Amino acid sequence: MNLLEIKGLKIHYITDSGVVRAVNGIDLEINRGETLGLVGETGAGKTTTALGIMCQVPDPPGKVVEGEIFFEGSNLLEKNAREIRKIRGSKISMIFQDPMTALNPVVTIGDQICEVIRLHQKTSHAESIKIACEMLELVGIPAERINEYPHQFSGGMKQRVVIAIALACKPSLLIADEPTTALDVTIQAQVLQMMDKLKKELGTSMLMITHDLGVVAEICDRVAIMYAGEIVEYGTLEAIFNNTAHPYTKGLFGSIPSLVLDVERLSPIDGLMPDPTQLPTGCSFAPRCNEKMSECEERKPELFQVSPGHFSKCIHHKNEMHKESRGC
Amino acid sequence: MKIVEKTTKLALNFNTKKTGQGYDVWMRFKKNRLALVGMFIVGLLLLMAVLAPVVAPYKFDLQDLLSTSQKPSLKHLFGTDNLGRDIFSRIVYGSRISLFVGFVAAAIGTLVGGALGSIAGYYGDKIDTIIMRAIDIMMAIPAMVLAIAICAALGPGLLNTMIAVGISTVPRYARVVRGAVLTVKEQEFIEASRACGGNDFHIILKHITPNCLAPIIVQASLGVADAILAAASMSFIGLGIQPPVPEWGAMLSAGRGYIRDNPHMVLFPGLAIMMTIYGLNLLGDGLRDALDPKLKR
Amino acid sequence: MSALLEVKNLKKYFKTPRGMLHAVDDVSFDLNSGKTLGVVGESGCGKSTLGRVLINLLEATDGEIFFEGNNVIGMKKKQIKDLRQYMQIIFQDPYSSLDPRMSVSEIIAEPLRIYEVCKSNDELKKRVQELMKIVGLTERLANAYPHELDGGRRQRIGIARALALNPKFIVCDEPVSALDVSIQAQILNLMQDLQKERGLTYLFITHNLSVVKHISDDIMVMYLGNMVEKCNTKALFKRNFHPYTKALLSAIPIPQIGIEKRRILLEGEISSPINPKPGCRFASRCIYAKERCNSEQPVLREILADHFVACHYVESINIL
Repeated sequence: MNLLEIKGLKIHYITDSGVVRAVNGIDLEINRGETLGLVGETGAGKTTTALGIMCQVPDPPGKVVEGEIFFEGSNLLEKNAREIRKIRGSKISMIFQDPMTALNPVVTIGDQICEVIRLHQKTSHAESIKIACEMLELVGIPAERINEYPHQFSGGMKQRVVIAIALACKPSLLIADEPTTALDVTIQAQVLQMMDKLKKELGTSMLMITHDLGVVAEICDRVAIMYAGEIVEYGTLEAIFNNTAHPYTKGLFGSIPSLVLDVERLSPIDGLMPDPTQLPTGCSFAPRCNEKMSECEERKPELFQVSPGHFSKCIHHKNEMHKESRGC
Repeated sequence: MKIVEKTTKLALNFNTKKTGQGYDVWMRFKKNRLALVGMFIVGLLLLMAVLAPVVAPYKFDLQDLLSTSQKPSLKHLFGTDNLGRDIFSRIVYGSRISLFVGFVAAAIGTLVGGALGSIAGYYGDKIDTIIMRAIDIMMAIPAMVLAIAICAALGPGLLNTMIAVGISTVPRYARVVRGAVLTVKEQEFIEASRACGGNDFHIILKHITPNCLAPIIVQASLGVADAILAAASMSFIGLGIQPPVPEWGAMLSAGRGYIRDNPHMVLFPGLAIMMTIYGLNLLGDGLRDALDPKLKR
Repeated sequence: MSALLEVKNLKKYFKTPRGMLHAVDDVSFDLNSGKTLGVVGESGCGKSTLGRVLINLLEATDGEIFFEGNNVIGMKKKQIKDLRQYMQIIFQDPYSSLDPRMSVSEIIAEPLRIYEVCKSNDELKKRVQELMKIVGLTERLANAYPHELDGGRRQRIGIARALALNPKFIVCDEPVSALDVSIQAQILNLMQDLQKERGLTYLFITHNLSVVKHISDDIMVMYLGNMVEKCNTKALFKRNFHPYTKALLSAIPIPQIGIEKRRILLEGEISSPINPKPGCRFASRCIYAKERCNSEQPVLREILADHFVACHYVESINIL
């Protein structure tokens, strides 16, 4: 059984200017102990997906229109507020992008860690402090600093504290929403390495939301590429990086200046992401795609299997594959 | 005549200043029913002030000593006062005075406070300290007491009332504007303009002022209500506008002695003040929500 | 070829309640016409301050800046205004760098109006349209307001505004860090094309090493206000000598798998740029630090031809 299974999730924001289709029917699964990278650009619906899993979509204007989210076998969307609160923070935790605003500035970091522990576990005050100290040591902060306030820490250290809070109850799923984007590269390297180590030690599954394919290459086992609220490609790290199938994913790789090779000119994707209130009827990537056919603009493509465990949502590619197999 | 000029100018300002985002603002404003009610009330008042000679059945100082202290009737909608003057006509003409005082006092406050606030905010450092400490001293004195003191020094009268009320509101505007300028000043487009060769004057005029307009408009629209109330209070205690000018506060004061037998003599001016303030406050709140959606959510 | 820009011992200190903040401390370099110098460093290393001092948005505390042979420092207001035509800046944040109350055409026309370049309104309009075309904005956006546009288009407006006065030198302060990768590539291509067509000189400030490698001819690495290494881009990625440069380069996540990585993780806290102690500012995080590093500030030395490093022990750390 998978730890998390999302089926046909649709989340819409109902605003004055129309219905924003932020998440448009996605399927995802995360196995125990695995890290799934969710990659996409601004407005692709990554964060909304994460909020959906946490049952924290702001309502109004947000609304889960359709779909199921199975966590450890039970559907999260059918649970009531009390049951959800029990899961949130203890079994599923989330790390937000900006460590500067994620901590309460007037409470010591020790108290902030203890708060989560005592919300979910029946422990004495002394015991929770002991656990908090352990958590701090685990993320590489000396336990003596437990009584300090957030402003006494640097950005990277704050993100470590945030991670310590998220991991305090030993959750089985950790959702990390761009956890290192606000950090400098050298600090990012430290935090990433620490997260990788902790994940292995604690056996936590992780949903890593990022736009940085470099971070993905470093930390993820499987990757899902998201575009305009849909997952357009999905597969193992090797499959996505070495056997890229979808034109959008190819475009993403072409847009990144390489550190290894010398490229004179980048090959960006033309155009812009479609307006989420007026998505095209056919493939949502078709207007920017350089491999599109007339068919692409008419009907929605479905996920098809490129190789075992590697899926792509592209009509053109599917046709090509068919031709090849018939040719054989 | 002056009143008409003033009010149309203000209305124009509203329409032209934000053509770009004006549409958005209007869409948000339109959705707020109470704000529309406020706008309707204020519009009605403006119309009444402009068309006073047409609307009012009598002249405001026409005494009819044969029919004094009459109850409301068809002939005298709101009744007459102790000198036989038609209260409805006096209220209609009074709207001219009240709105005029309100707008002019708010304009004095906005201009003086706005200038002080923007200078303090833009230049910062010592200038900021000097101006803001002076403002702090003014703020330590209750606005009403300050207005009374100024009026007592200058003597009663229309002009002096406006100056007194206007000056007493300066600190509020100065603080609002300074805050707005401080946030706008930090934005990169100010630096960009400087990189394009813009000098301080250009930057304040072209970038800072338009971007600080929203809070100023909001403060001013709420300030008009406060100014009307302050002017009415001043007139009530006899420091403001002098009879026979039909000022609402003065009318209240004059009718005070007859409240037992002829309550309509204070009821209608009181209602007029209340409705005006209510309308302006609704309009101001609506404008605030429409101009700055972030504040609300 | 003479240098377009020559910077000598430039210093910029800020007064803070806790003491003097050394944002830029003793930086010298030359920049030739038509070239791009990349300035790399982490947040707070003074790279943005450097860019702003160069185009006179901030006043330098000490040092000299020669632009086409004339010293910019100590110039009168009038002269500086004349000079600004030739030095422009593109900002990081495409949201706060455009006045929300101005339409696209008004924003682009602003510098033209200030310098009274165009004689008539028609000419002004034509020039604005021309600029919009150059940066790839369609004409119908002329009356749009910035908040209606996405980050990429907004950044194009910023570029058009910077180009309006036909500058020779442009400071690019993280022009693509706020953009998505696919848009980032579009903007980078545009900037390269413009450089080729108009012989522009860029000072490209960024923390993104892959971007800086792509666009720069030379790279300068900064750490807490000091320049620690400077050389040709290709050379730097082949051989780098300063311990900080090494750590920085090894820290970048590479979007490729199967590449062997030797990561150098930095330990220790970043020392404060406020009233810095004598000695190397990187010493507290440097694995090679010795006593001398804490007492004496290393000077920038030419280790190889055109390759400058500021470290006492370059020779013993590296095999030259």
